[in-house]
Amino acid sequence: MYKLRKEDLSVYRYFRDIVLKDFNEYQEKDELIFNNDRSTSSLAVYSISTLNTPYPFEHGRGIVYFDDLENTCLVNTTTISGTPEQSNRVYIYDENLTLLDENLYRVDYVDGNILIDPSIVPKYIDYYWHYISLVDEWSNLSAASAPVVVLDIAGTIKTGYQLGGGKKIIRKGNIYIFASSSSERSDLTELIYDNMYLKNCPLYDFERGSVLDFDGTFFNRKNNYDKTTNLFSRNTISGTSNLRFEEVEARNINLPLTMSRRNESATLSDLNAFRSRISFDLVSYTQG
Amino acid sequence: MVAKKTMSSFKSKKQESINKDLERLLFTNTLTELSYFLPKLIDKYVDSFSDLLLNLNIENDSLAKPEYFFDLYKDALETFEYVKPVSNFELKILLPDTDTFEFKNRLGFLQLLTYGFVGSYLELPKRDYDLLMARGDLSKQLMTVLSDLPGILDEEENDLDFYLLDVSLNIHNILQKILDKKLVAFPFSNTAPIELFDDGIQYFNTNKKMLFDNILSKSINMLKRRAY
Repeated sequence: MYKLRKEDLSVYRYFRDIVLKDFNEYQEKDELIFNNDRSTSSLAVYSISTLNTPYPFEHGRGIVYFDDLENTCLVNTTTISGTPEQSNRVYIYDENLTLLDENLYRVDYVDGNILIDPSIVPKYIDYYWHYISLVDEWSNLSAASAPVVVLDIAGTIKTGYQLGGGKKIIRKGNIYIFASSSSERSDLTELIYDNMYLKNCPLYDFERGSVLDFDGTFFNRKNNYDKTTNLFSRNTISGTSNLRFEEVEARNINLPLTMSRRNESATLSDLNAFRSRISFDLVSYTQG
Repeated sequence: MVAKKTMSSFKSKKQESINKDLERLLFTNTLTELSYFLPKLIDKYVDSFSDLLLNLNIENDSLAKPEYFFDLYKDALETFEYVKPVSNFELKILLPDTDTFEFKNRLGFLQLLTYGFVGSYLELPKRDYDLLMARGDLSKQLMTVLSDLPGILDEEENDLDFYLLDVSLNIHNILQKILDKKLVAFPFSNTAPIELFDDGIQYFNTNKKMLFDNILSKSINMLKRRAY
C-alpha cells in the first residue's frame, strides 16, 4: 500500500471515528432473519430486518465497529497497543431476550449480518449505526440516500522544505456534503469545518490492510474469536509528520440552476438539493 | 521660521503631486498591460475546456456534447468583466470561476459540470417535450412532473435545448412509449466536479507577480522621465 492510500485511509478514519461520531444512531430490538442463501452447514447467517431510514446498510453506512474513542483515531484505551473490536456497540439476544456472549458470533459490519454457529438461534439485535454515509468515491454517491459525505483527494504537489533531504507533500482535497435539509447541511458543514481548521490527524501505517476484512467482519476475527487479543494495529508511519489540514474553505453549492418550463428554478434530484463543499490542503512532511 | 514652513509646504505639495501622478500611471498601465495579458488568459481557459471536454467519447445523438457549448463559453469568457473600477485610482481584477462566471441560459450546463452531478438522467429534447405538453391526454400527475423538469434552455428557440429527466422518477418508460423512441442517457450523470476554471486561475497566479512587477517598473520609469 502506497503513502497516498494510507493518507486517504487515515483521513477516512479521522472523519468516521472522530468527526462524525455524534451522528451515530442507536437502534433497539431489530429482528434477525435467517439468510438461507448465505448460510452453510457450518455457519448460519442472519440478516437485520429494519425499517430505519436512511437504510443503515447503504453504501458508506453500516454498524459501528469501535467503542468510544479518546478523541484520537483508533485509540480507545492507551493501556494496550492495538485497538480492539467493539464490545458495547452490538448486543444480540435469543427469543427469550437472553443476551448472547459476544465471542459466539461475528458481525458483518458493512451489510448488517450476524455469522454464528447453526446450533444457536439469535432473534433480536441492538446496535449503533452510522447515520452519515461516508464514501471516498463520487461514483458511489447515488448508491446511498442523504446525508452523504464524499471524501475526495484529488491532486498532489511535492516540494522541498529544508536544506538537505525531506519533502513537503500537499494533497489537494475536497469534502462534498449532500444533506437532506438546509439545516442539516449547515450543521454538517460547520462540524466538519471546525474539525479541520487548525487540526491534524495521525498518519497510520495500515501494514495489514484496513479495519474490516473483505467480508465486512473485523480484521482477523475469523482466525481469532477472542476480542481482547485480536487487536487492530495503530502504528503510525515513522519519519513522517501528522496530516495537517490547511487552506480549509467551505461554501454552499446551490444547484437549482436550470430552469423549468414554468420559468422557476428546478431541483435536479434529492441529493443535489442541499449541498456544500469544503476544500482543503492536506499537508505532511517526510524525511528522505 | 516662515521660510522653513513655506519650504516644507512646497515639498509636501510636490510629494502629493508625484503620488497622484504615480497613481494615475499605475491605473493606466494596469489597463494597458491587462489588455495584452487577458487574451492569453482567455486562451488558457479555452484550452482547458478543449482538453477536459472535447475529447470525450459521447453518443452522437446526445444534445449534451460539449462542442455545442464551446462557442457560448468562449463568448462568455470574452465578454466577462475582468476589470472592475472601484474608484478613480482603484481597480478590482476578477477571474472567471464558479462564483463569478455567469452561468445563464444554456451555460447552466457548464455549472452542472463544475459542481458535479448526482443521479442518473436522460435527455428529453425540447421538441419532444413540447409535443408531450401539447397532447391533451396525459395525466395531471405526469403533466405536473413534466412542468417541473429542469432544462438546459436558451432564451430563444434552439433545436439543441433539452430537459433532464431523472430516471428515479420512473416515468421514462411511459414517455419513451408515447414518443416511440429511446431517450439518450445524459453523459454527465453521476460525474464528479470537472475543474474547468483551474488552469486559467493557475495561469494567472503563476504570472501575476511578473504582470504587476512590469506595471510597477513601467510606471516608475515613466515617472522618472517627468520633470518636477
